[in-house]
Amino acid sequence: MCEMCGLNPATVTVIEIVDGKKIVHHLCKSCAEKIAMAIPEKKKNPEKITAKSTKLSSVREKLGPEKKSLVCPNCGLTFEEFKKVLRFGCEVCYEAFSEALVPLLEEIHRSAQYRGRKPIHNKARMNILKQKNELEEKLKEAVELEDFEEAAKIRDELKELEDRLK
Amino acid sequence: MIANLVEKSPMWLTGKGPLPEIVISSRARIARNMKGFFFNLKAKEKDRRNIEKITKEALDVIPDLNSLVYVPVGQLDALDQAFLVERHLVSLDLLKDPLHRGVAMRPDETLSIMVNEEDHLRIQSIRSGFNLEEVFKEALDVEEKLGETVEFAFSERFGYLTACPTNVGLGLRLSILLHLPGVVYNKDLEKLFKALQERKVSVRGLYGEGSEVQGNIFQLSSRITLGVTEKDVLNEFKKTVEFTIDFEKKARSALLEEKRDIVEDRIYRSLATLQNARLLSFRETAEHASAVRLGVGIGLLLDIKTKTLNELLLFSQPAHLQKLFGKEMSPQERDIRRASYVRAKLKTG
Repeated sequence: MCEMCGLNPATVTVIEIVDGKKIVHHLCKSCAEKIAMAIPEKKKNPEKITAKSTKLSSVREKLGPEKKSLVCPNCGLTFEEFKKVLRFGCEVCYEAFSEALVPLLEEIHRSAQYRGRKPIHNKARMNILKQKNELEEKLKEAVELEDFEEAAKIRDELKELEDRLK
Repeated sequence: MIANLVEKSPMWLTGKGPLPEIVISSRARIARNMKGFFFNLKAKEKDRRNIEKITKEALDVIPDLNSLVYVPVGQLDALDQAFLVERHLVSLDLLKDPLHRGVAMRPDETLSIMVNEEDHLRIQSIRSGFNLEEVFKEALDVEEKLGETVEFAFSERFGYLTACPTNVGLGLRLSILLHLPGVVYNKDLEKLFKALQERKVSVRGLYGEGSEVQGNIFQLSSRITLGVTEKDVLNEFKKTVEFTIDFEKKARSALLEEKRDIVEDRIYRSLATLQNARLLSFRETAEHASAVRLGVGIGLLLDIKTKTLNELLLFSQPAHLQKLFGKEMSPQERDIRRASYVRAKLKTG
């Protein structure tokens, strides 16, 4: 039984070091918590940040216990599954698991914030390239059908598109 | 296409480029996924088919990239697939379920784009020798051109979104193949590994399973892809490679100072074995080729070119040998053929 309250079974062992001597206490969960909260912060052992190994085992540890409620709404990957394979199912997973991800990314990269280039996806350019493709198909057909007037027209259009791409 | 590849050796093996004896090749790899499609883990066949189609269309329409040849891996037989793995054009992962996966490549193999691997797209640029700037520039150029046509999965916070969190952000990994016989013979490998671990770089032996190293060839790769810029990665990795090269040079000096006779003896014995053996396993070939390569590096063996040694190693691998001799062979037959190939190759100098 807990040596403090005497009411609950002692399930927690707390080791106190006083003047170099070890004192062992057997407490129940709530009394142990009360003791933990009473200890001024600086007396607790600071968490050592050791090995910079990125072996999967140490990386998994950083993820903490499974948060059963975390599921990606897009691909259905559960956090549990992710922890096992350390692979995401889709782009939305990053947002869905973002809270748990930050410590993981800090462990792997010492950072969780992107600093590189941004994408310059240019929809206009993509459309021009698509149009160009279509026109080239039409040109092939026109030449096959020996419709050289049409072919000349298409060539002019193509030239115009190419100029726009430069 | 594969038949052509067997006849030539890839450009990045030519032994040109800076420091070719210690630095065999440099590589830059960029991973990207397309917006709106599940990643490989959850992608169905139909998704992969679409990604493959979009990639091929995009490549067709980009002037500098429409000369790349697309090789759908699913349509190759097992030997050809193994051949591509040996050429570093395709990874083993790609082969497990090969339908709608492939690689778009330049015939001289300096540029390739893997489709539907761990990520939808993996752009890879390789050059001979110590040439990180060029592979860095080419990989980013290709990524930029593709990115104008294809929308990539990206977030302001985490950067380019990849299947594995070790790649997220830049998706960029630089690596280099290094020949480090000095470090190995001098028993300084642990020391080097420790120093590299602190420099945010990963190291593994290129040949050999698990912790076994064959041929004293190592691959060094950059590790960090988040919280740094692309240029940061290039600069830091370059410095680390230079550090490693220096480490190797010092190890060689120490070896030659203290044990010159032993080292020379080893080099000449290895050369003699390669020139005369009738049975050679790949492991043996790699070990002896390393000693011979060291001989070339320290100016002892003047008649052998680095390119010859590079090709020797590549074509000694199982799939290459079998394609070279035009048939599948048992391990013992391969050992015989390998020995005969090596003898002939060394005669060419």
